[in-house]
Amino acid sequence: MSQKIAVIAIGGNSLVKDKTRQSVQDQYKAVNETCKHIADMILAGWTVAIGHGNGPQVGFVLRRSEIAFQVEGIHEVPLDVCGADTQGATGYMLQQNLYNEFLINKIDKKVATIVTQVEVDPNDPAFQHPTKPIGSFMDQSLAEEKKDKEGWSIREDAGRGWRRVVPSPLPKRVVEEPAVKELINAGMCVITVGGGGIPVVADESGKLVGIAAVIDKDYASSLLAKGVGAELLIISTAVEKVALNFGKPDEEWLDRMTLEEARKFFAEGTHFAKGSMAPKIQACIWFLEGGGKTAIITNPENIGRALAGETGTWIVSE
Amino acid sequence: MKIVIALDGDLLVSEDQSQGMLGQMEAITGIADQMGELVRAGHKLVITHGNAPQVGFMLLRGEAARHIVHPLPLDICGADTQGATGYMLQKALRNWLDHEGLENEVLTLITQVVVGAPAPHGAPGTKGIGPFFERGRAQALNKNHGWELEMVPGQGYQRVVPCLTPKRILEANSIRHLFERGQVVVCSGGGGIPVRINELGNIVGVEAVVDKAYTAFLLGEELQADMIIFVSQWERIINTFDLDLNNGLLNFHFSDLDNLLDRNNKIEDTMRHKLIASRNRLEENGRPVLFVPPDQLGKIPDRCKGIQLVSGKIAVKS
Repeated sequence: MSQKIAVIAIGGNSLVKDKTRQSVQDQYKAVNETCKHIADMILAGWTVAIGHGNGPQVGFVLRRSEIAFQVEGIHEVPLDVCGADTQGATGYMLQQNLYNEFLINKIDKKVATIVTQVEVDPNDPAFQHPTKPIGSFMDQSLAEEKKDKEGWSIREDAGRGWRRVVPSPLPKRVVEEPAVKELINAGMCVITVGGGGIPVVADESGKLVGIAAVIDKDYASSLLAKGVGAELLIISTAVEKVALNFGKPDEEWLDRMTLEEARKFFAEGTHFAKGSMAPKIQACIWFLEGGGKTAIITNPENIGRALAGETGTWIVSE
Repeated sequence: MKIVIALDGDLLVSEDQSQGMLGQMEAITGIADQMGELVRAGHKLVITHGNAPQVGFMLLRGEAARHIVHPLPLDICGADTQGATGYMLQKALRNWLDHEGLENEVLTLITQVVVGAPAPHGAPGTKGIGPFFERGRAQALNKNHGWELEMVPGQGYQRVVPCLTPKRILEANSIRHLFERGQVVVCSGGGGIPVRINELGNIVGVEAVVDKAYTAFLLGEELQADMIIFVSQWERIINTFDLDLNNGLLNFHFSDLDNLLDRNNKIEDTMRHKLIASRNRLEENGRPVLFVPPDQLGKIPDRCKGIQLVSGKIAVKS
């Protein structure tokens, strides 16, 4: 029997609800809720692969690393390893909570978290224009020292101080995709491309090397969904539906659009916020162009209803 | 052969701590090259590793930043290090295999183990972890967090946690699935993330460390491995067995282990765990157990130097 495969990209709000709820216990609770919704998908007959964000988590790892370096002289954690750290920890919380949900729902499924590297093109134009601020604010002299000694790109951030910026290149290849596919084909629930994957590039000899960059998790999930032959991509975010003219008087919530309409709205450039909804729409477009059937954007609590066609914004291939 | 490789955690960090993460990557690459030789020779590998130094760094960072960033419980620290160490191992080994034209995949699976009884009789039942504190701070930590602390002469107070025996690897299915398809699997780092099943039947993390030598044997049973290889520094093996290792692979009869444990007080805790696990498990299954230093790993089984534990059930090679 062929399986119905879905990839769900869960957003940062599924892990850290807000600034007052960041502790591990809070994250665990948030993950627990999200896992109930994922169990709903599985009960609806889907074999599910899960991608997740890691923005706040990487922030915490970096902050500890910076402070411990300043105070105790403990070596700092480079960005690729921070990503691997958070894949481990978030994957663990997800897989443990999924097991517990499966138990409640009598779902006979196994869960696996695969530490996942994503290859990017070293010639990606993003490397010429690093845009993603990471780590703490610095004063100008420290920022310049880091620039000179460690080759950081730095930027002054609206009068609040200086920050490191890193590029956000497009994902080209999910390095561990064959194994992810094998586990999915065996009917397992797989957690992968955490934080968009650990960014690596191939050096001149073909070896993969970790780099300081950030990959968009929706793009990586979209690429994975294409690669594993998923029918459905769900992007779980803070809103129940996508709106045209979001936040304006003529705002219009969308139930459904075709790939062609999505392309048209996206090209108009005024509907979807850059760095927020726009990349999600782009991720859906790429997925559908690559052979996917349906992409849904909704918030975690509405995943079950969205799957039943009651809510969310559906983007369909035709 | 199907082989379980258990790497000591301190092989994966640089002896010179000032080398930081680059040093770790270099150390890991050196070992990956050796393991690559085993893959080339046609062996199937599952790799598990210690994480004491890595968790130590995390706890130090957590403590230094406690006033600013929420600290991490021990299960999350374990998950973090499985992600980071797994990433470095899988990248390094995959690069070696790619370079040699071998197509095996290398995957890291985040692994939980259900823990049970304390480490068996004769093996240390607790382990000191993380930074050293002054008396006042130690008392506060005991009062506020329920930590047990012990005075380490000349260093200060250190947290001690139980060292528990693993009963079951929760992700055994996915590990086996990939392993049997010829993929190299990195898993159960630190012996696995310790969890227990609570009154409600839910899986929850435990503040403990795992007797990782036992996890290696559990993996061996799950995968019906032909051999378990413990990889440690030369000096550590020599100090344990009190033998000259320059004469190839020496046989050591497992019935002499008790005697060795009694008479040699130079045996470090980590080796004591391995010897006791070997004594308890070897009798049951007769699987060969090797103790080799990292630079001998690629020469196994015929040309390596080290110790092979033998039971009466297997042919003794002179």
